[in-house]
Amino acid sequence: MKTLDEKITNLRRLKLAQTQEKIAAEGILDEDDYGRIVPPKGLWHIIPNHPDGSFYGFDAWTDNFCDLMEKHPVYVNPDDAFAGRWMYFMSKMRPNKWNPDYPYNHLKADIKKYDIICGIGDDAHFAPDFVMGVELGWGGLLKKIEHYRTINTSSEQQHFYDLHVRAIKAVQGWILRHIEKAEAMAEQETDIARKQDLLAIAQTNRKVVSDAPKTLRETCQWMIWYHLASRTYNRDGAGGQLDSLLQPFYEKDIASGTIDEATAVYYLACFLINDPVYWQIGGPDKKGKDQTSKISFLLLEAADKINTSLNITVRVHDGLSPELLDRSVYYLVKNKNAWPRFSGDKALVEGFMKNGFSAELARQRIAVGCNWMSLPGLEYTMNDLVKVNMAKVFEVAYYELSEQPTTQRSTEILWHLFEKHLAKAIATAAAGIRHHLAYQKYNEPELLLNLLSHGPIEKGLDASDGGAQYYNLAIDGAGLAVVADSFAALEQRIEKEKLLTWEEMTALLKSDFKGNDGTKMQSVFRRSERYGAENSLGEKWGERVRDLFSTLVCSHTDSQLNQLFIPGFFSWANTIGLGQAVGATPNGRKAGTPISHGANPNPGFVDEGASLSLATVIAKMQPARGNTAPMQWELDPTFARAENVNLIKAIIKAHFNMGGTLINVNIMDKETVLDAHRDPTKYPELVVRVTGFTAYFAMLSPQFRQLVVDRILGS
Amino acid sequence: MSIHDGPGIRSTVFLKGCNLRCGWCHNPETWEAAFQLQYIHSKCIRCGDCVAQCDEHALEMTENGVKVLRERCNLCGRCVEHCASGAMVMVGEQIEAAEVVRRAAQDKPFYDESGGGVTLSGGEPLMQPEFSKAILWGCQAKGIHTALETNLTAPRAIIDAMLPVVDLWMCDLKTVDAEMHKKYTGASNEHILANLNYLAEKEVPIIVRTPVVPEFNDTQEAITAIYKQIKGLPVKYELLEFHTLGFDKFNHLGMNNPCEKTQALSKEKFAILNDIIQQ
Repeated sequence: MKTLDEKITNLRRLKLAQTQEKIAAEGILDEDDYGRIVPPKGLWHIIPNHPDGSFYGFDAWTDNFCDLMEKHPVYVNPDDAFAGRWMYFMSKMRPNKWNPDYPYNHLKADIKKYDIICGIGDDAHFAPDFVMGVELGWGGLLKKIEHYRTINTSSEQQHFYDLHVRAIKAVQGWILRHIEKAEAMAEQETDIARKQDLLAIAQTNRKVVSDAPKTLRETCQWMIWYHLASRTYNRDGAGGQLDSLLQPFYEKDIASGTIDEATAVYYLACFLINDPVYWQIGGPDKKGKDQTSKISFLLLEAADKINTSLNITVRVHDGLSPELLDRSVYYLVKNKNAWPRFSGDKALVEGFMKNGFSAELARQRIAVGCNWMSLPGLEYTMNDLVKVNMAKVFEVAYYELSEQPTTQRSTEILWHLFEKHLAKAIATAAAGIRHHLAYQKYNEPELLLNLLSHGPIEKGLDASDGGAQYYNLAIDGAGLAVVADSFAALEQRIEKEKLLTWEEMTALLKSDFKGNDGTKMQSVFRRSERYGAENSLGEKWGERVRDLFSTLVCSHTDSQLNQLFIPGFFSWANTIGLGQAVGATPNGRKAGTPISHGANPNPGFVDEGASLSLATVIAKMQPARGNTAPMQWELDPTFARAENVNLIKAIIKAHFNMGGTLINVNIMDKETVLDAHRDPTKYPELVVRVTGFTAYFAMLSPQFRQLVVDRILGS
Repeated sequence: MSIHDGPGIRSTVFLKGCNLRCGWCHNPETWEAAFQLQYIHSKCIRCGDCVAQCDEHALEMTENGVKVLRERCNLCGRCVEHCASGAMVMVGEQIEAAEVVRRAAQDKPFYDESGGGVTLSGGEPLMQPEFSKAILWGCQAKGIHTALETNLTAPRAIIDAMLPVVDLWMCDLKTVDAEMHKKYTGASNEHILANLNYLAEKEVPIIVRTPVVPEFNDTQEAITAIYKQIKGLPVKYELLEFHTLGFDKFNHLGMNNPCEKTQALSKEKFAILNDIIQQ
């Protein structure tokens, strides 16, 4: 009979093999690992309902989802406490993601001009309320629908309910097939222990097909089913406050003697290896009391045992259990595998309250996504979906300036042009969001997330269509450091030092720093007073850009429409793509190369003390409205050692005390990352935190690997 | 950011000028009090601007980059001003104590969270006693913990003057053998030991450190002798491992490296010596 640890080791080994198989079958993926495994070839294809070959609207999404659920392979492994894995990016299998019957041609010119990622037709990126899910179970959700069906009686609403019932029943059918599979495997199994394991899987699933889960195991299995279904539907990977969610079930099981601590850790390890969902642990409850409990520590212990590409966030606040923070940093340093990461309660709560919300509500807005916070079940956000490429906006402004008479060229005039174009770009992004909200239900309704939201079922309206309680809509700025450093280089080199003229600068940019003095001048610009260095010109311009961006985003808030716009600085994986759209910039950046990430300075921004300068500048540069500008921290492995846990903790706490919102950490030595870049296959288990998400280094494209390498070498 | 110059996260301020010449020093740029020109070969883009700017003809472009003819250089700094890549660097800065305090205080949130602070190092900070005192006083006034790394060769009056502004004294004791000390550092250790005893009598917090250097003091006998010397004193004692990380600086500054052929200490040997002081 295998020990629990042996089972976990097997699961870990299998996970590695599955990742390798995924790379072999599908090639690179510049995204989260997701825990997804490779589907059998040709088993399922989308069912289009539009001449363009895609599918749109409630009926088509329901038809596709239910059909897929019916055909989706089952996954049972006796080493694993839980059944199920997801295989299909249903939403990505469409040839087109926006219904052409609802065009936005009036926005397209400016979207292109300013290289805006407009988010029209994008999905998920708000959080389900798992508390509701585990309280009701699938059967309870069906009853809830039946209840509101009697209240909201229009034919459209009745149809809305019909489709949600179909979706739930499809998931139940999927679960039932797993039960049959587990029982059939048990029947064939000669090893008594394995037979028992398989029957336990079947039994656990039988309990959660309809009823609400009652034990820790059942609760984990229920949550797995929900997020596997929701992932399959539209890649939704938002998590919740995992320790509080599981705590009552764990304590009840322990009290009744049903499980011991080791079994709980095994369940949690199986749960976490299923999918690297964005879970938060620690942090205050709505009254401000720390939510750390025994299971918070067990979750870290389980995470340590599997040590995959995890996305656990520890919420740091004044009342956080010091032991939990100690333990979290201990595992970060021990495994050097980019988990956990840390969010800062103080600035997040204070920032969100500036939008007019209570502290109680602000504390519930937790880390459940790549870079983002959300109120589980309460808000529709478009978090991390809408990006304004400020570097491109700068470029548009710069070339408008270059067409003006020589006497009318200065950084102040350029600033006014930048203001004008940034206002237009943000207005375009906001108009795009409004267009999306108006028509998304005809494009891609949120069939699964509606179920665990407070409002859509109650009102009979999709979450994108007025069903949610709050519409806290995110617009992120990208390329802050490129813009700040470019303004600084122009002011320093042209206006102060008179090292070159505006014409000469323009010629250098247009030639991409080629020609006689190109390389030299590129070096000069790179060494201008850079954003990130204290009291620098770069910092001055950075603050101006931050204030302008925040003010412009907030100006689109419309309380009558229940639409609140919240600024953030986060560029996700888009730094490469956004950079490709921008020519050479006055900060010495070559044409087409990646732009800076979030509020991070450009690599190599100071000669010494980068960690503290980074923590200081990013804390200062927060838009401070409840969304994040994460600190992407490339921590030197010679510092990231067990004896320095207290010092790392000190930097984390100081950053959050100064206003920081989220810290993503990588710990990797320069030699390893260079070697892995040369031959990723040598490091199949190497995990990096690319931005908000972790990924297997070997799965990333060469450009993405280069981005990570540059950041680490420049740290 | 420093984590090796006292407790917690610290800012270390290096003062130029030292009255000792320890061959193993990894901060050779702090030996001379004067400015020094540093040429970092790896950063050079061979543009030749520095050569063109030099009226003294102290720079030559060669196949291997720029050659600095130091006997001709008058440290005017024009080459540094015109260096695009940062390969030419002037080591040293004339700065007011208040400005040092202002810069160091920016990282106070990190000192507060980690129990860190500001450390004066060098060189020998007590060769500039008024300046050092002003910095440390300014830090203390802002509630910042202060530490002083000194070779303890300063006159007693200077030590006395520093007592109120130093929260932690950090002193090197390289060997108890007076002759060896003089041979390898240029000064006797008698006054150093007397100052150490004096500080110990004052019961101020002290960390004594011995840099363990191959062929100088890397024997059990040498370390045991130092340990015996300080065992009765109310001080914390640490060994520091000799390393070669500062070797490049000698090249950049055009200086001879007295330990050029010395190898880094092995981990095993250092562990054995460390065991002596743990007893």
